[in-house]
Amino acid sequence: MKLKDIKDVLTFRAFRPEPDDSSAPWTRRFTRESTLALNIGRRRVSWTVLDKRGEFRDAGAQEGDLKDILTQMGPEWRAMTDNGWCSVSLNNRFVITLEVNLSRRAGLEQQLRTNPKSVLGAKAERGKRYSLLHNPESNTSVLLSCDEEAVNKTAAMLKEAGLMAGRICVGVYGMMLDLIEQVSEARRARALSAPGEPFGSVVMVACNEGSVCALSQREEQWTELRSRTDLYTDDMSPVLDIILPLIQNAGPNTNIVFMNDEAGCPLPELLRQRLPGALVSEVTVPGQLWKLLTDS
Amino acid sequence: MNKTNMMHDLKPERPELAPPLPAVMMVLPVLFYLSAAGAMGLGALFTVKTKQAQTDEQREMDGEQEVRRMIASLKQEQKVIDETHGKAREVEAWMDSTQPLMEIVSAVINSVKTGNTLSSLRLSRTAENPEHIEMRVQINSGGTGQKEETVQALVKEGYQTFKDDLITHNKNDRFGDVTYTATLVKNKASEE
Repeated sequence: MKLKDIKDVLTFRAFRPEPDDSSAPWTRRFTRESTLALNIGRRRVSWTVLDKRGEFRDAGAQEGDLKDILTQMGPEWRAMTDNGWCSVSLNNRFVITLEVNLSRRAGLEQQLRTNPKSVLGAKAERGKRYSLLHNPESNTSVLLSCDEEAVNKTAAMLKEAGLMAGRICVGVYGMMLDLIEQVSEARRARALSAPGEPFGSVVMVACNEGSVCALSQREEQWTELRSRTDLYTDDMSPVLDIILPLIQNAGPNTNIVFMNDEAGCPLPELLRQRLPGALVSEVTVPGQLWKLLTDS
Repeated sequence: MNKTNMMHDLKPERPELAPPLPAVMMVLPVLFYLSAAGAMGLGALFTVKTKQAQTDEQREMDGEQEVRRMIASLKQEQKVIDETHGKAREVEAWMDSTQPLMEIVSAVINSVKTGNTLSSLRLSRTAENPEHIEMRVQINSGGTGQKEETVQALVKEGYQTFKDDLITHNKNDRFGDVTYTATLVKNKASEE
């Protein structure tokens, strides 16, 4: 038994999941501890601090490459946290696709992390890390593939700056999963309140500082998915170009459910202007991405 | 799907990741802290009690010292009183010694019967023991009878005789010459 083990027991740290245990919620791993949340894009990095009281503060953003920003902001970020732990959203070097007929064996999620080829077969590529979500009501799955090098490099750069990555994920993919969950809940509620009545088509759109993921759902079927990184900056028209065909393909009276990384995005308004009568619902809450990154 | 699953983790999993200890084991650090707090509390209590005992001990020692001082003071006073008493006794003895010898002379002279004679009467006393009066009487005629008469007269005056000595040629001579020596002491009861 090491001295650290005794210290962990006396500080009750040993009764919480380890800081880098991805199976545990962020708030359980870091109880009453200040941690950093980072959203890392190709040309922009934004951040905020989740303080001991569970509130977000000291949010900021800076244009530039992570490596350059780290040399400038690294010590400040380290000082913002108690022990240097951070939750990272990668906003580039990933692809989200819609797949069919993927294996659904038990324990597949763990296997996907260690041996993706056994799950994805020929679709698995060397040097990629994967995450997927199956549609429980059809044979389709949303698959995220991210460059392993980007993950490792980001973790290494943060480590050099005294920061430790407790979680590295793709923010826009997480937002899309959240949207899928919300729409599923709405479908279940509708099925209970109005049995037999069709739910209709839904287009889910998630945007995160230049990255876009849009998924079209007709009844319980996922029909189409589009995903881009570094697509837009301030002007949202490239996003419209991506999602309008999806909306048109989904048919009339399609519900458009939109989620952005932060509240106040002009896209829903643009959609209403471009598609008068469109049913646009924005489900973004303040600090949307940060809340997802820290499970709070 | 919970939020943890939504926010998938792409970083490589550390192989030696340990699960958290069961919550019931929290009793161990809780007991540790309780025992530490208890030990500190008892330590504080013992310290307070020790200090209190030391204060009491000091107070008792101070009291004992005070009593010792009082005893010493009383002994000093006693010594002064004893000295004063001794001096008073000396004065009393001196006063006793200053009593006139005339009454002894008178008692001896008056005790001489008709026809008897005394050749000398000597009375003396020392400074060391002024209460004792050494008497020497030479009786020319009268013998031991006169000597008894003289002793009777002295007893009447309140004197006790001791260390009596009679010098004579014939002890049964009641009319010849004898020399009688004795030490006289004034009987205290007769003075009162």
